[in-house]
This record gives sequence, structure tokens and C-alpha cells, in this order.
Amino acid sequence: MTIDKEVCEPEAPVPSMVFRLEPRSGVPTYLQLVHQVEHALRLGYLIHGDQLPRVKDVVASLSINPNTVLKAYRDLEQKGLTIGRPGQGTFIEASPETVGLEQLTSLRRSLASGWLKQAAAAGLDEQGTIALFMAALRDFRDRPVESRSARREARQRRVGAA
Amino acid sequence: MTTVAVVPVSPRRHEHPVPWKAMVRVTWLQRRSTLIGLLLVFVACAVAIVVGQAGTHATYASFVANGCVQNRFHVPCVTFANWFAENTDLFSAMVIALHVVPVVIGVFVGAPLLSRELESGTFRFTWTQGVSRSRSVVTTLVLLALFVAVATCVLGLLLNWFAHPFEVIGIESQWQSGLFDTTGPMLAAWTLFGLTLGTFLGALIGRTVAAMALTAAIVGGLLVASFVWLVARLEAIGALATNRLMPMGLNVGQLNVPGSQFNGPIGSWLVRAWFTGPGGKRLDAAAASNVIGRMYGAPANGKVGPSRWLSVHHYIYWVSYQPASRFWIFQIIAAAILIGMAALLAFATVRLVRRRA
Amino acid sequence: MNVVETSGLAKRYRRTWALRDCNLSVPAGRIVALVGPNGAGKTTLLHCAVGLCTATNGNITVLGDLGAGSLEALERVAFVAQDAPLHKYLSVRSMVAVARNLNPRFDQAQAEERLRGLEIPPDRKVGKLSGGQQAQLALTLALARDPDLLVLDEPLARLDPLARHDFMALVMAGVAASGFSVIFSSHVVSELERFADYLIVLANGRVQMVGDIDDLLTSHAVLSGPAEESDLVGEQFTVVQTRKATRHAEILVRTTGESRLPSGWESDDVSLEELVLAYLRDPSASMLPGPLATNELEVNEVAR
Repeated sequence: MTIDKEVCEPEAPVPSMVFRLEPRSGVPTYLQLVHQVEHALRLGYLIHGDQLPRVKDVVASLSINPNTVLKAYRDLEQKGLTIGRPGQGTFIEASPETVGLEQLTSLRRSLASGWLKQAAAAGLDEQGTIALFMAALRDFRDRPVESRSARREARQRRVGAA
Repeated sequence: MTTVAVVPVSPRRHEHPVPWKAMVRVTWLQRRSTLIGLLLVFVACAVAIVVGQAGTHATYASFVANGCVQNRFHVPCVTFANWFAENTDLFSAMVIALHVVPVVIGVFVGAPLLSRELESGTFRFTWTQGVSRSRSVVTTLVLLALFVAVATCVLGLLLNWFAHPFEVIGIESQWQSGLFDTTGPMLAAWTLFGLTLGTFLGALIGRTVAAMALTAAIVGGLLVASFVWLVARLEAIGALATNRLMPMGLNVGQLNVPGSQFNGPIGSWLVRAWFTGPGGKRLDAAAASNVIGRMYGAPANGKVGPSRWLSVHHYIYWVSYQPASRFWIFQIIAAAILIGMAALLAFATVRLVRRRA
Repeated sequence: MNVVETSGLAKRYRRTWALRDCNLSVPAGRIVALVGPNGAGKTTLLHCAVGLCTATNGNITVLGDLGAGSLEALERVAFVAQDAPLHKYLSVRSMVAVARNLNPRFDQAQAEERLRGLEIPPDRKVGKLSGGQQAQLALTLALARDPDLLVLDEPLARLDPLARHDFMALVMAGVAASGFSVIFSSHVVSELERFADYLIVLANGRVQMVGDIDDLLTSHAVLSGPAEESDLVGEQFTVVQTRKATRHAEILVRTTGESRLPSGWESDDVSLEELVLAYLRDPSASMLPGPLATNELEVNEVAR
């Protein structure tokens, strides 16, 4: 048993993606990973054909449950953003355009010139605006208690039963 | 939630249990320094004996060459005999040193064996590996017992060899408690007893220092008791009686001397002596003194010696003894008792370990 | 297969009951967090699972139907006790050799490679390693046994943050590679979610909460609304904890998803830490069927 400190280890290949977690953000870990991939796609940091880091590498660097990573990757696959090739890994399938950069720009403009302007005129400050927006978003996503299990079932169906 | 990961829980039936050789290697790895220390102690004792016996055996060779075995009242023989009488120091030292061996082994090998694991918490590692607790304890004990038994048998035989000239001359006897407990199988038996007692106490108490102290006290105490009384008591059992011995000086009561001191057969052991008077009645101590006084007071003119005087007055001098041929029986009995106790202690230790929860 | 199954498990030491009437069915393939305050009985439960102590009442089986502590269980379950006990006077190399000789399955190459990666020198005495390194060594030896279940008793308690990260990364990487189940105990609740997907909460020797973490989170919510309506609203749900202010109240409830949220009330997600603490604060709240008997409730009150 020897330690080869002097002998150079071959350089580990640079990963296509570095993940980070915000444990206290309230957002489930797997969703954070999904969002980070989507964000990277939008900004062009990930392009079609890039291989996402292997599950065990993500697990080793972030120190999280492997199931979480697998869930995130399945989610991305369900959304059509990635494709898993057995024995090879998970690869980016979508290109940035399909995420709709033009749509994003026009939505952003309409928000700024429409609703935000009205909210400011009503006297809402930044925090108030955010709170109101989040409440409206929740309403829109249909958040009464009884549909939580329905949402869970929907999520289960998406993720796939083992 | 259903788990997404593929879980390869294969129905692995358990493979063959860990082989003995592996267990031996573990014992060696864990007890290396103890075993080496022991080996050094044994070698030191052996070397001391081998060195010490050189002078003794050289003188003994001369003793035999001069025909002193048959006739010890030859002039040069008396000189040789005196030499032996004056050079018993190293011999006595070795006898004492060997008495300490079972205590040392019990205290430094037996007591820490399990107590150290219990005290330091490493039993939570050792007892959750892929081998049962009993198996690991038994293997370690057996390995140590074998090692220790072989080494002490060798030492016991060496001491036998060292003692032989002294026995022939009659200064020492294998029957004497000092030699009895340290020669032949006895040293090994005592040492196995010490080892298993130490291990048992270590497992029972779980504190190394306390176990060491208690082991030292019990083994040491028993050895002292054996030296002072137990061996003699054992040897008195079933002694034969003879009226044919007539030593120069008559004693009654406990003798505990080698037969050669009474002109008896070499290698026998004299236990007690008493008088019987006219009618065959045994004399008590006062009456016996009286007889002895009168006997030596009688004028010894020519043919009438002490034995003649006794038979004329119808007194008989009896001696109870053990013949030399019986010696090994006593050693076997004593060794069996000790080894039996050692086996019980080992069994109790394994049971203790298994039930400790 | 249930990786740990207990029924009526109880353990008494002299006159104290360390565990009482524990019923668990932990499915395989999970990373299980065993959580509870100090003295709750976590170590006792784990020791029963690995055969270091025997139950006073009830029984416990591991990996399906193996008796806890049986020879087959010993071979397939790897355990790292609190403070990672190892023979301090042995060198790392000798310690690995001891582990290799005591287990029928042992991947020596994997152990050596991991130790190289951790930069733990093979000739140093175990006692001279840092606390983090000793924990890593103990874990490496456990993983090299190729276990089906890895049990860790408060593995992070004495480790600095970096050592904690590295330790759990090693565990998670092992699971990613081999897919074994893990049970680890902790008295710290925050940061559990990143490791565990199944939770057991133990308090006063009893199981207070048990289940998949996702299920637990989706089956609980915090309802907030006007204070005067809180009692009425509370009756429609199983209330775990109520917190009242002057004009509004927050109720942590367990829902079956069948009740409607009354108007004027909002519902919010619960974090795992919030949920566990709420259950720990109220000994009568339990995720298991059947409430505590009254006299035991009093005992718990006194004990608190």
C-alpha cells in the first residue's frame, strides 16, 4: 500500500456542470438541480450533446442522497431536456432556443410595463409586490390543501414508479 | 414516495465462515507485543537454567564417575555433596522465578485480553465483524493457551533436568512443593489456570487494572497455599507404611522429606513417622519423646543399637511414604484439577461474552 | 424486503426502559435518518439492530428475516459505533488486515484506494490520526465489507464541518455505487434532507414519527388564519401544534387530503426541521396509530 503523491494523477476531466445547493431555501433539492440545469441551458452554459455529470460524481461533490440526483435527472428527461443513454450517461437533448428566449424577453417586458407599473402606482414596495405575486402564483397553481395529494400523485406519475 | 434508484439487493447466502488461519492472523496482529514479550521472558528463563546447570552437571559427572551414587560416604563424595549443598542459590532462584510465571501470564496476558476491549469500546468493532463473538474469543484463547502450554512444558522439563543431581544427592526432591508445582506438566497446568482465570475476570469486571489485581491475588494466593500446605496434603493421601527404615536420627510427626535422607529408596517421599508400643498401640507425642530419650540413653555396647533396643522393648518405628513410582500419579491428579478448572473458566468466559448485551 | 423490522421491541437496562414498544418496518434501499434528543434510545435501537444487545421484549430482524446479530446478519451488516472505535495501537495497515481477516467479504483493493484518496498514511498508528481521519478509516473498513446495510451511530458528532462533508460524501458515493441501505442516527435535524429519504423520530424510547420524508412533508401543512377560528378549524384536522398570536394563529396539521381549506385560511409547506421539532415538543403527538396511555403522558411531562 503506497501513496503516490509525487506521481501525477491524470487530470480529472472538467465537468459540464457544477451544481450548488441552498439547503434552507425551502425548495426541494432535486428541484434546485433541475432549475440549475434549465438556467444553464438558458444562458448557453449547456448546449446540445453535453453530458451531465455522472450521478456518483454529483453525489461525491455535493454529499447528497443519490436518489435525489436520479430524481432530478428523470425530471429533466420527462421534460424532454435530456436523454439518458444506458451505459453512457445523461446527455443534453434540447437546445437553448427551445426554451424560448424570445418569449421570455417579451413576457418580461409586458410584466414591467403592465402589472408592475400598476402595483407601484398602488403604493406597494418591493417586498409587498413579491408577496402579492407569490400569493397570486400559488392561487394560480391551485394550492388548496386537498389538491396537494393530487399534485403529489401527478408528480409520482411523472417521475415514474419503481 | 417510491425510490427511483435501482437497488441490487441480491439474495446472497452467507459465504463460508471465516477460516481459522485468518483468526490466528488477527490474534497475532492484535497481541503481537504481548506474545513477543512472553517469548522473551520464556527464553530468559530457559537461558538462565541452561547456563546455571552447567556447573551443577559438571560436578555431578564427577560425582558419578567416583562411584558416589552407590557409596556416598566415600571421602570425595562427601566433598561433592557439600558442593551441592552450598550451590543451591541459582536453583532456588529459578524455582521461585518459575512460580511467578503463572501469575505474570494471568495478569499481563489473561486479564487485559477482554477487559481492554470492553474498557476502550473496541468490542463494538470486534463483535460486529463477520465472525461470532464466541469464535473470536475461543480462537484467541486456544492460540494463547497452546503457546503458553508448550513454553511452560519446556521450562518445566528444563527445571527437571536442572534438579536431577540435587535429587540424587538428596538435597532436593521432586516431591517437594516448590519443585512439584514447577516441573513436568504442573507449570503448564498452573499457567493455563492463571491465563483462563485472568481472562474470565477481565470479561467479568470489564476494568483492566481491577482484573489484573484480582488475578494476581488469586493465582498468587493459591500458589502460596500450594507451596505451604496443599501439595503436602495431597501427597499424604494413601501413603504406605513401613517399619524397615531406621535413620540415624529418629523423628516423629510430619516428615515431608525425601526418602534418601532416611536411607530410604531414592525418589521416595516420607510423609509421617510414629511409634507403636507393646500391643500395637500408637504412641502419642509425649510417649514417643520418652521412648526416643530412653533409646539414646541406653548404652550401646557392640551389637545393641537403637533398632535392637526397640525390638527388645517391643516398640516399632513406623514411617508412611510414597514410593517413587507413584510420583507421576500425583502430578497427573494435580495437573488434571488445575486444567479442569482452567477449562471451566474458559467455558464460563465464552458464556459471559455471548450473553453480554 | 424490510431492511429493519421490529415488533414490540423493548429494552431495559437495570430499571430504566431505553426502548419501549417500537414497531418499525423500514423498506430496503433507503437512507434512513434516526433522529431524537439525547437519551431517546437511538444508540440502543442501533445496538439491537447489529446484535450488540439483546431485546428485553419483542423482536427485531434485519435484511428480511435474519435475526439481528446472527452470523449471517453479522456478515452482511456493517456498523460504525459512536466515536468510531478502532484499535488505537495498531497501524492503519494492520487495522485493515484485521478487518480483512475478520470478514468473509472484504475488498482490500477498494479499501486501500479509498485510504490513498483520503491521504491516510498506512504506517501511522490509528491513535495518532485525527478524529476525522479515524472516522473515515472506520467507514472505509465498513464499506470494504460490501455490506447490504450500513449502520452509523452519530457519525458526525465529533467532526468538523469539512470532515462531516467528506464523511457523508463517502457514504453517499458508496450508496451510488453499490445501492446498499443506510441507517444513521443524529441529534441534529437540519441538513437531514440532503442525505435521508426516510425518517424515524425517537423520543423517550418510543417511535414518534416514521415514514418516507417526502410522504411526511406532503402529508403535513401549516394553516394560517384568524385566531378566533383556529379551534374550529383545528377540529377538522389532526393538529400537531398550534401557535397563537393576537389576531392570527398558525396550526401545524396532518392531513389526509380530504378536508377543504376554509376560506380566509392559507396553507403553507412545512420544512422537515419544523415538523420534527413540533413532534418532539409534543410527546402525545405520534405518527403511529393509538395515543399514549394517560399515565405515560404524565411520566413524559414529568421527564420534560
